[in-house]
Amino acid sequence: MLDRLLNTGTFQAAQGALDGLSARHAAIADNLANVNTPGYKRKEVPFEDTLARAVKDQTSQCTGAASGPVRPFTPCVTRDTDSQARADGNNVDIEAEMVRLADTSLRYETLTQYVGGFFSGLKAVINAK
Amino acid sequence: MSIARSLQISASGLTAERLRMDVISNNIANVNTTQTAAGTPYRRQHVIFAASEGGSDFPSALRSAAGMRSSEPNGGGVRVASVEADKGDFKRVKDPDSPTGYTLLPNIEPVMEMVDLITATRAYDAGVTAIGAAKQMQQKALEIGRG
Amino acid sequence: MNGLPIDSFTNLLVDPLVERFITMPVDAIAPIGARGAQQIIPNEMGAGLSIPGAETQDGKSFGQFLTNALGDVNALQHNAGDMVQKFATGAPMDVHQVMIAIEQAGTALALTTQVRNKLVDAYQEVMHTQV
Repeated sequence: MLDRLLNTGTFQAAQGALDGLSARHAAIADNLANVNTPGYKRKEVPFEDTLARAVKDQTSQCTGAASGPVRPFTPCVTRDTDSQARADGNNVDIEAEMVRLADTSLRYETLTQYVGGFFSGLKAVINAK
Repeated sequence: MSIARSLQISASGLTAERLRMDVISNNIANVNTTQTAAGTPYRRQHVIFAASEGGSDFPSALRSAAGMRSSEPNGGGVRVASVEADKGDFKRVKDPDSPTGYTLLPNIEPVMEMVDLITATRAYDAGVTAIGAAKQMQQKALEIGRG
Repeated sequence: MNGLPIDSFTNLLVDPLVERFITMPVDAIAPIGARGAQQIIPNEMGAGLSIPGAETQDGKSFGQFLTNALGDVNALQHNAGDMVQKFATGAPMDVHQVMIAIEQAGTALALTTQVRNKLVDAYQEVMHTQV
C-alpha cells in the first residue's frame, strides 16, 4: 500500500528525471571546465528516452508482482563526437552549454517543486481532521 | 554523477583557468624582459590543459584496487597537464647600440595574450555560473523537505 | 502491501474505510462480536456492512495490514537512515535523493500513525456506544 502511495508513475518519473538532470548538470560543468582542453569532446546525458522506458516497464510490472523500492535510475554519459570541432579538436560551445545549463537547472527546479508539492500534499491529506 | 561532483568539476575548471590567467599575466609582465637566468630573453609560457578522467588520483586508485566500484564514474574536471615554454623565435628589434646590431625580445604578442586572457575569463565566468546553478539546484532540492 | 485496494490516499479520509477496518476480524474488536456487534454496528454505521467482501479482502485482517504497513515504514526509515549516513560520510549522492528518502519515510510513518489513530478512535467510539 505504502509503495503504491509513494511510488506513483509520475513520482518515479520525476525522481528519475532529477537524477538524470543532476548527471546532466555534472556533464555540462565538465564541458565548461574543459572548454580550453585540446581534443576534448563534449559530454551529454540523453536520459529522457531511457527514463520513459524504465517508468513504463516498471509500472507494467507493478500491477502484478510486488515492486521493490525505486531502483536508482542510472543515466549514462555519452560523448558528442558529431559536433563541429574547433581547430584544437575541442567541440565545446560555451554559449550552447550555458543555454543547456539554464535549461537543466530550470527543469530540475520544476521537478523539485513537484516532488515537494507531492509530499506536502500527502502530508496535508494524512493530517486532515 | 551528482551535483556535489559537478561543484568539484567546476572548481577544477576555475583553478585551471585561474592558473592560465596567472601565466598570461606573467607573460604580459615580461613582455620586455631581455635577460633571464638562462641568459636568453624571457620565453612565452603557455598552459596545457587535459581532461581528468578519474582513476589516476589516489582515492580512486585505492577504490579500484580494493575492488570497490563507485556508483558513478569518478571522472570529470580539468587539470593542468603542463606549463610549457613557447618554442617560437624571439623577436628581433634593431638596436644600433648593440654589438650585433639588434636586440632579442621575448616571443610574446601582447594582443594574443589579451585574447587568451579574454578566453580564460569567459571560461572562468562560465564555471562561476555553473557553480551558482549547482548551488541553486541544491537549495531547491532541500525545499523538498519544507512541505 | 497488497492488503487493501487503496487506490488513493484520500480514501483514508472516507468514513466507510474506517468502517471497513471495524468490520474486519481484528482481535481487539472481536470481543464486541460476543456482545452482539451485529446489532450495534449496523445501527450505528449502516453503510459499513454493506461493503461487499469487506471481511474477506485477500483474507487479511486489519492487524496483518497494519503489521505489513509497519514493516514498510520500517524499511523506508532504514533506507532514509542509510542515505543520510552515506551522505554524511561523503558518498557521492544528491541532496534530492536524500530529501526524497527522508520525506518518503516521514510520510509513510505519518500515514500509518494516522491510520492507527483513526482505528483507535473508531474502536473507542464503538466501545462507548450504549447498548
